[in-house]
Amino acid sequence: MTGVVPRVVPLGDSAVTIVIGEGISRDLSREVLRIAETLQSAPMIAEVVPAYASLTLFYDPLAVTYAELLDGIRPLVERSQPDPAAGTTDAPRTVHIPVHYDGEDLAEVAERTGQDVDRVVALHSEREYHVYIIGFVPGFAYLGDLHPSLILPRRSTPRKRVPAGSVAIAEAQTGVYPFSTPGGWHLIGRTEVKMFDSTSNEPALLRVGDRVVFDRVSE
Amino acid sequence: MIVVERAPPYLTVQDAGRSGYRASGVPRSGAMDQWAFASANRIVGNPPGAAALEWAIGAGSLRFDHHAVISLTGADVEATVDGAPVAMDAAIAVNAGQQLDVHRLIARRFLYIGVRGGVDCPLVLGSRSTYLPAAMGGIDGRRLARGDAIPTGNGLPTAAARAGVPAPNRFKPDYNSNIIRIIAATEQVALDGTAVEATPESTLLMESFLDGRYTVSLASDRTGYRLEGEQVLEFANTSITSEPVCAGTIQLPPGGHPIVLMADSPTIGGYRILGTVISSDLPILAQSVPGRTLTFARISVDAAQRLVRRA
Repeated sequence: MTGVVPRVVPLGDSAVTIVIGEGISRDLSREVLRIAETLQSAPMIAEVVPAYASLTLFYDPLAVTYAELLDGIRPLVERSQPDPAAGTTDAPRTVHIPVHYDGEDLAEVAERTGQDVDRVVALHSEREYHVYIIGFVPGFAYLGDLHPSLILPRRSTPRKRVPAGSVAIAEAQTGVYPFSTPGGWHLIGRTEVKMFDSTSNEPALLRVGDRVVFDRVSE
Repeated sequence: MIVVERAPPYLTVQDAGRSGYRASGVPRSGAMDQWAFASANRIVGNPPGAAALEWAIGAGSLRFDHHAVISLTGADVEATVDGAPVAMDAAIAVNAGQQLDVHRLIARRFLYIGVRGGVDCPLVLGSRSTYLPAAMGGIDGRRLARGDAIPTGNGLPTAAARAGVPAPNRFKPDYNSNIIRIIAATEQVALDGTAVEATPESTLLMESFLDGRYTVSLASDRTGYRLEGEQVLEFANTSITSEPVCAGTIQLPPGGHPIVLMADSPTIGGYRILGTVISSDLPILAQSVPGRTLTFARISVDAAQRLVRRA
């Protein structure tokens, strides 16, 4: 723990957000995840949703009051401090996603970042990403951190429709669109991997804390 | 089967919603007005989670190919069965071959049609609710169209319904109220119980939000309701890292006009969070038509939870 006491912010009468830090970093994300895993097993909590610097707990106010919930989670959060003796027990999974680097914006990204297309592809694929958060649409994972020389702001005009499977970048992040949706990221490639499967009990391919590697598919 | 003879612009299958998949980015979805939805089920003698039809915007017709017991709750509508007017909030017996016509919505926004046995489409991630952005649930994850055949279950009515016990409505939301109660995000504490003062900027922003009157915008749907304030809320436009959000969460995008997230909103949001509408008042907001003027009032989490338990 960073030494700062986590802050508790109610999200209505059936959820509460525990803020444990600020900003975006892998260390903070892993700390969020560790607390999330500890709380996952608490019977009074229905759902735990990890975010960058916070996690949100959903609960049933018919079963537990706000005060009871806070009393119940306090020792669990305190106990979820890293134990240096235990080392890393759960190594994150590494998920490989094959990518055809033929996105509509690839040439533009190369031009705007002042490097050739091959270099853009190399910088994107020769890197291991961390899943920070999942949302926007089901199964959309926000992956970081992008190589600094690929950082571009979002497109000034979002597309009304980005094809499902598009691999895209924006700011320091990259991700894959699981569905055809509107989107403002730069499209650099596509994958045939299914990012979301509603028939599976774990419907999103990725979960927070996973490591992700994009493998270039040779055409 | 219930056959859609004439589809209104918006008609989907909804139930109490999905839970357990927010970490995968799946929102709760479900009926926009959970009270009216629950009431539709109670009236026909269904267990609380049975799926119903959620109807909005315009007229349409359904034909029943078997005897059915149905109910109409939520939005006030002018409706007939084979031309004879039918009442809201009552069990209606429909014979095989008869047609329900909803001629127009008179007040409020979402009509629920409960049917004894429930709408029996496949469960997707534990719910029958239609979630349009991911084409999930309901019938092929879409709005119902002319010619669709809606399967219904043949569950027996609950004991209370068999005994003719009327559906309780003591704690019906006050749909005429223009005041929506919220829990402010400034109601924060440290995990160890010590007080955490909201910043003067947050306190001021909350005060100006609560001082304002807001009109429900035309740009409002199952994802969120935009509110147009008489005055733009001024605030330091610092971008926040995305945080989980839920139905009822009030976000403040850079333009200074709040958005209340609704049933189908994404599970995370990157705009500043002002607070969250309490569960007991979410039906009132959901049923507010564009143009309605609302104000917001703060209550504590404890007070909001007492209301939930009373209901």
